[in-house]
Amino acid sequence: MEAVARRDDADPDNARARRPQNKTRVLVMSTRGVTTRFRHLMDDMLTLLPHAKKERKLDAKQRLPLANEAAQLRSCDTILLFEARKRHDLYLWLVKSPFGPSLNFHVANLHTMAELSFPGNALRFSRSLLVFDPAFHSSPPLRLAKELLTHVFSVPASHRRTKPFVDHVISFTIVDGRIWFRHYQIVDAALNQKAIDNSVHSTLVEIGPRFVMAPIKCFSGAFQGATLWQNPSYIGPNEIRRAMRKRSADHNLRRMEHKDKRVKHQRENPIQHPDIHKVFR
Amino acid sequence: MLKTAWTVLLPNPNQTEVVPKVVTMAKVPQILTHLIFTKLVGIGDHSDESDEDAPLEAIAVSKLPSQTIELMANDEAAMEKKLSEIALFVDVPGKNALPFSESLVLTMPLKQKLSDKLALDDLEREKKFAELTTEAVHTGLDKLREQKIKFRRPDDYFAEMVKSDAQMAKIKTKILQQKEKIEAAETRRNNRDINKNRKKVRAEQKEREQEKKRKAKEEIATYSRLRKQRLKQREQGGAMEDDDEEFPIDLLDVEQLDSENRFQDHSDVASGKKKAWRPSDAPGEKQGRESIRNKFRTSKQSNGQHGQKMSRTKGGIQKRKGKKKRLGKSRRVASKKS
Repeated sequence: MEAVARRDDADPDNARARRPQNKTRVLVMSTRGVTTRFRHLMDDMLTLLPHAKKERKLDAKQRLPLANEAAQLRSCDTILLFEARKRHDLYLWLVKSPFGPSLNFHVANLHTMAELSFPGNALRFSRSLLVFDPAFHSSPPLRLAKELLTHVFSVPASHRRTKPFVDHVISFTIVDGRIWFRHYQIVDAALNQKAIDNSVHSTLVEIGPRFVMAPIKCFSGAFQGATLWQNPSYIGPNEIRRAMRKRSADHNLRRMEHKDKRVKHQRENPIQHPDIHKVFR
Repeated sequence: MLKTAWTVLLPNPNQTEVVPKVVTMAKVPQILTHLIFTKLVGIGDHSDESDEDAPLEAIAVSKLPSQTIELMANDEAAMEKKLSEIALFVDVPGKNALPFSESLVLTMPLKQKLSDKLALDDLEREKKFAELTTEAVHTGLDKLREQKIKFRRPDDYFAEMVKSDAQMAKIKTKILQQKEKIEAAETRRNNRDINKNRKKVRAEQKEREQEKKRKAKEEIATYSRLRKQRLKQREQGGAMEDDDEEFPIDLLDVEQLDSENRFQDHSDVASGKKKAWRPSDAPGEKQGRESIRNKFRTSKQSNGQHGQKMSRTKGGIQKRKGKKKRLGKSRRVASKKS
């Protein structure tokens, strides 16, 4: 087994100096009302993140700040909360507990790791490369989002469950104002470590899960506090559903109008039957 | 909605200065296209009817002109401050970001923003994502190699994987099934094409066979003509030369029938009218010769190829100049085939 690189030796000035380490711990929770799919996504998160802990369902929709207490008990400083509404919609909270900012996302186009269309596989609890779109630097809310995503998904090298190998990569891209999450396995063409000088032969195979996050709001506190930012182009799923229903209602209205028109027209212009019409009456 | 209005209207303790969030009608032109319509408590009816029909600006103007309009929250200073409080992976004054070896954070090599149309084009989008990620991965792995951090898992390192073996087996079966499906569809399509063109193909085949037959019969006719001539010459007391040398060797092609023996007139043979001609029917026998001649005379072809006359030179067909020793049968066959 290959040895882990010694971090102390890497620092030439002060061999004894401890390098700053990532000591983030993530609490993964959900509210009541999560369906199978959302639960599988939660399990996928726990599979990928060695520094994540699972917590019981939060039974209070209105009182999300209670999650902070659970985080304090489990000594976690980051919370990943899956909020399910109407059994259809999944919202994701990225929260820095207890004072930190919180970001709220709507999750769509969800495909979990259990789906058979993702042929990739990786070592469990190995470290993953994180690749971000440069558009994350363009505005403060996106910078905040990048930071929080890194806190959650960057596997700390010092965690006891972490394996020191890097064989998968998570990418966050921004398209159409939404963040697209993709998870790939890195496949080397060459089999021999020593022979690999060029990494041009690496290919990516998708492991999953796969989803899209639409940012909604940013709050100054953990699940509470002032709204620091609101996404102007976000349209909630409820609004979309309502708009769709309205459209179908419009069709019906139009049909009714047509009907009324026809009745009126018929009344005003009665058919003039010729005399022969009376023959077969 | 109301809650939001109240929180925003209160001065934010984190801010250095209190920025009023209430905007009067005078500032409407400066407002961006998306507005949220807010009603203050106690004024007007809180009707739940949806306002999606008309643009929001129009409603704002028509319904309650004295009401205030709220801007979308965008407190950049507060966000920056929060970011500096929690930052681990970005440089902030007073604290250095965690190095690459800790964070493994990379940026995609992307010059401009990705087009919004990609959101709908699945294939293009996934290709683009994979492409960008691969390039970033290459830079990342190079960086790790520079820092001498080992990242590759040894081939004999067996540990728990993210997906179980059972699941991987299921995935494999699925991929194989898809492959089989595609192949089956391909073969079905090919068979359909063949069935469609069967008549055509058969007709072409038949034509080719008939062509062959005709040619063979032509050659046999010439062969028989030549034999007749030679016989005549012999009867007339011509020199008993080595006939084989005069014999135009290329006509020997006729004897080499197809493996399917297609030259034969199957109908005659089947009805028993004629005996099937075999190469072993030695042309030495007179009877054999006659039967051959009769057979060739009764050609089924309407275009009487057998009536063709061979051009003759004076004194019959000349002897070949430069007499060469005739090779044995096997060598002749071999040379012909080559």
